[in-house]
Amino acid sequence: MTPSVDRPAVGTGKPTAAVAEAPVPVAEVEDLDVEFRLRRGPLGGTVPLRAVRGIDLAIGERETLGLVGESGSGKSTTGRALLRLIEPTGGRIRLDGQDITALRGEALRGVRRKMQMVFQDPYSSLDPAMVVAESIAEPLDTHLALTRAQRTARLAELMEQVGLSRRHLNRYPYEFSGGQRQRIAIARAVAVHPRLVVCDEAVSALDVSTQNQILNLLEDIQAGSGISYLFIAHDLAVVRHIAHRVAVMYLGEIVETGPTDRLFDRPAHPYTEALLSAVPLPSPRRQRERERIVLTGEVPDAADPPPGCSFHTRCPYVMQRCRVEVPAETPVEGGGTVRCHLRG
Amino acid sequence: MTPASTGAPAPSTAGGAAGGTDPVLVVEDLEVRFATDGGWLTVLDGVSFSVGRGETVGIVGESGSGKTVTSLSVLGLLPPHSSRITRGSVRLDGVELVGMARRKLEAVRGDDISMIFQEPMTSLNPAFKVGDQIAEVVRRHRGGSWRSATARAVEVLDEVGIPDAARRARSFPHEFSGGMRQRVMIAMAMACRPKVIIADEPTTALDVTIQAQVLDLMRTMSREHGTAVVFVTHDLGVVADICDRAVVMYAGQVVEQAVVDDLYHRPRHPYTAALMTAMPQLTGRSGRLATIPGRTPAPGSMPAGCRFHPRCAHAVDRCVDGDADGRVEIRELAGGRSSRCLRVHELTLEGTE
Ligand SMILES: Nc1ncnc2c1ncn2[C@@H]1O[C@H](COP(=O)(O)OP(=O)(O)OP(=O)(O)O)[C@@H](O)[C@H]1O
Ligand SMILES: Nc1ncnc2c1ncn2[C@@H]1O[C@H](COP(=O)(O)OP(=O)(O)O)[C@@H](O)[C@H]1O
Ligand code: SF4
Ligand code: SF4
Ligand SMILES: [Mg+2]
Ligand SMILES: [Mg+2]
Repeated sequence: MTPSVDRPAVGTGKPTAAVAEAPVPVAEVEDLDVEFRLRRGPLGGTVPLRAVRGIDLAIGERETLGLVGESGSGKSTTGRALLRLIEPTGGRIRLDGQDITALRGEALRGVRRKMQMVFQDPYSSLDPAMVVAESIAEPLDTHLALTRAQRTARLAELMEQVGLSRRHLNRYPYEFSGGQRQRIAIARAVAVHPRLVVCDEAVSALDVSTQNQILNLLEDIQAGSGISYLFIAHDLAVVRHIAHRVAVMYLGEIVETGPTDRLFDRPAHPYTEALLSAVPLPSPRRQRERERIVLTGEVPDAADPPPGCSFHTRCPYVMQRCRVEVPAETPVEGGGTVRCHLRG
Repeated sequence: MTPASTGAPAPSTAGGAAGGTDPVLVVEDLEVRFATDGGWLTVLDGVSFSVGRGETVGIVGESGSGKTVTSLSVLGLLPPHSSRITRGSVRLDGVELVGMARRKLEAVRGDDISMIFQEPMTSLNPAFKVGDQIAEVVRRHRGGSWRSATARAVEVLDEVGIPDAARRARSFPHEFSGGMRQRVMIAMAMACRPKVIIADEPTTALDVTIQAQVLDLMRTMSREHGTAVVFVTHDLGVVADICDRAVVMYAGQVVEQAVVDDLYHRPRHPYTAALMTAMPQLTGRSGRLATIPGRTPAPGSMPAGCRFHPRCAHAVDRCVDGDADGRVEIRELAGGRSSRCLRVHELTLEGTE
């Protein structure tokens, strides 16, 4: 890892700044790169798209790391690469200190148990033709050798943990509301006692009250089992609530990280600042009185990111050197790191 | 590129009291039914609201509360065979739209009233250049030559901030980003200078930075041309940002209606208050997140009396009985606001400040 103060704080509910001798993170990516080939152009040729460009992340035990950024910035790709669901083109992925970047077959299956995922639309992760019991038991059967009795007991226990009834086990996904389906997806994800769950827009499709029930459930599970979350979301108010630390992505790069309170109260990167400023506050008076930064311009093409600082085409503070020189990662007072020439 | 400090509009005087003295759109006692396996079910039950000239009115509520059905009813776009407007009226500048012949309604739509939806790709034809699609709308309603209609298309594309509009008019919808496509939709909706635009979750699919741009654009367009906007959303932040007044829907009914400052500062319906309390705050962590117990009832199984009573923290026995007819009627309150709560005069509810 590059020298950085961005180490996860471990064990505490709400981490403060840098932790001097941080223990081994639960999950870690180093200089991660993911490239897709895009079919483009009249001759049917392909162009490379670097969806993730050399990022570092570490998630501590019992920690929730929020990952935010615009659509297409590479959040899901990061989550999927971390879980080894897609092949990175470069970099390292470690789980509990073990390098899992190149694991295959049986060895990969072994570590898969420790990392699970919850998506925005549980329909895509729950087989519509399977009753709930089968869906939840699938990871149990794959990873653990349970007796019939143990399996039944575990299913009942999981249903209770996510606030559903045992009666629901024999029903099909379509018989449930969006919030209930998300509870089932969570039960399935935590069934095999993973170390890390990647939640990719897990509450984005839900109404606020249902969303809050799911967020409270995720917090309860973490308090009980010490699980870690990579929490990908575009709703910044939700991220402020649930995350201990936050990383902000822009065009495949991480432009800022930091403890949640510091990052929201004193954003160091102009993009973070603009992002926070664009969230409308649910109070007409406060919204009226507030200074807002409205960015001009569009998000650049990810296949052809701008040189220098990739935010320079939309940055209100752009300087000449921003157009040519890539800003280095710099520590931020109060915790975390930023990549911006203003802070160099 | 400059950091622009823009303020949301002050509450407009145009529609202070329930649409003001000169409403351009009046929806009254609208009842809509849908054909389902279980027979005809009522999904909108006596929806009333009005919109003043140039006013932006938000319709807000959880999913399934009837926001989209309301906007489709106003536009006359409900599915013809499986739905019916069984009661009520929609008047646009005094002209009744309910029951209007399809031909005539098609002439009104796009001209006097137009719409913007969440996913512009469903309203834009992928096979035609955007300039031609806008020109087609202009010609249909305003006549004139193809050439002048095309010129008009370029003009409105320029107005909504599409750079190099003359060239971009020749692009196809998929050649635009999500935010730019929504600008194209706004251009199309504004092309004939309608009196009212119905926008159903127009920014829900957009990133916040792009949403802020589109909201600013809608605000500017509405101000400059005096266009009234009905803004449908589930996001209380967006309502606070862009609306003068808001209508809160629950289970197919309007439960509260007020000027936004009043609504947020001092909600008068427990459902509005519960929604506000549940909003996670960008400004900080506040312990455990609030939830509303239970969930929205489905059409066909609406609770007796007050439809919110099984979830309401303030419910008492008489909430189950309702008013004389077993329903709870809207109460008109001072300041041009209203609430569908039996206990409205007994309760003091917390808002967002
Ligand atoms: N399988 C794929 N093939 C080609 N390009 C891809 C693929 N998956 C993602 N991309 C591209 O990689 C970039 C990052 O995508 P990713 O899905 O990680 O974004 P995201 O931050 O999760 O966005 P969102 O907020 O919309 O979910 C985008 O430009 C996307 O179009
Ligand atoms: N085409 C349809 N057929 C049957 N029921 C429908 C149809 N469209 C909407 N509904 C029902 O009408 C109610 C209101 O839906 P809608 O207006 O889409 O809600 P919202 O826009 O507030 O999320 C819901 O119960 C929904 O299931
Ligand atoms: S490096 Fe320059 S362009 Fe990039 S964010 Fe900082 S000031 Fe803006
Ligand atoms: S009528 Fe009763 S149940 Fe309904 S909102 Fe008012 S207090 Fe709650
Ligand atoms: Mg994604
Ligand atoms: Mg809707």
